[in-house]
Amino acid sequence: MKIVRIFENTNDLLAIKYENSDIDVLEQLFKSWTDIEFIEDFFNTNISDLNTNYWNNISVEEAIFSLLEESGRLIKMFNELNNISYIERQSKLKVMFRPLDNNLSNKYEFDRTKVYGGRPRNFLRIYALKIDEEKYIITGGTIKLTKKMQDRENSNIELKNLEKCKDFLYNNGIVDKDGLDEYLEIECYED
Amino acid sequence: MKIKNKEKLLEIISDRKSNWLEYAKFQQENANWLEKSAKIAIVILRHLRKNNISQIELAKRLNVSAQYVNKILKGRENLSLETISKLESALNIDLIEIEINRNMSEAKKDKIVCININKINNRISNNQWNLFNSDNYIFKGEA
Repeated sequence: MKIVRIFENTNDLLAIKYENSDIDVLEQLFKSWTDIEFIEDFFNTNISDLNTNYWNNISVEEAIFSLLEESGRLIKMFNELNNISYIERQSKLKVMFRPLDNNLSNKYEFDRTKVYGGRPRNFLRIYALKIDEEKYIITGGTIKLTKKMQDRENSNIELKNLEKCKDFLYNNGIVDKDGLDEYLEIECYED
Repeated sequence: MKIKNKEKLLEIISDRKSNWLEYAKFQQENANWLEKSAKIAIVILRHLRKNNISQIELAKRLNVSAQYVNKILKGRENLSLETISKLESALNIDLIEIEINRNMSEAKKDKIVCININKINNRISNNQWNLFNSDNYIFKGEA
């Protein structure tokens, strides 16, 4: 497992590059989420999830269009983050990343956190760990079709990736075992 | 989580650059034609699936490589009018149509329409794009 910088010469936003991939997760996500063949196949395979009240019974074609709009917004957002100062970016990252669970409690050992965007529901999620006040490590992302990540294999894998990356940081002596673990999510809405 | 050892973190951060930015800039700078390429890819993919036509079969019909067909279907190919016409013939579908009014005063009604996309876009949003100006006509696309 390797860690790469997202923005040149700063360590505020990092991303994992897994052993089985030539590229880091952020580049992988942007490529997948603009690959029409991949997206069409994904929604066709998971059509039963689209045919529910949760997604308002949208068609595969409508889902593809919606996803492409979202990925366009995410790409634009990251391009904008690249063009601002470190300090401005720090405030934006704090707003972008939100906890995974809404039920936060100090009694829990791990604190999972999230990043949001405007319509009632979006498909795309980017996940990250927060280490220190100013550093985030993107661990992966997914097209999320159900309310709970655990309910589908593709989103459940991302929960496991968060854990795997956290363990990697512990085992390499980078982070402390004490304190809360912060698991974060980005979801990008329309302005 | 708190950082216990900053030096260890710096050691582990790769010198190798992420290429996300190059890809993201390209996507944003070329959004207009990429959007059109994506729409054509969607129509073709859905047609192939509904009619049980493989990409290899489509490649044979077009007399091109399967790799090239796959590039088209990823929605990243800057398609020529000739290629679009060949795709239409190979699949017996209409991908785009140009309606031109012969009367100059009606020129504002000229349009290029993505036939199969209209029904989908009516449910999502209205897209408009300006294509190009020639000496005599302005072509305005509406989806």
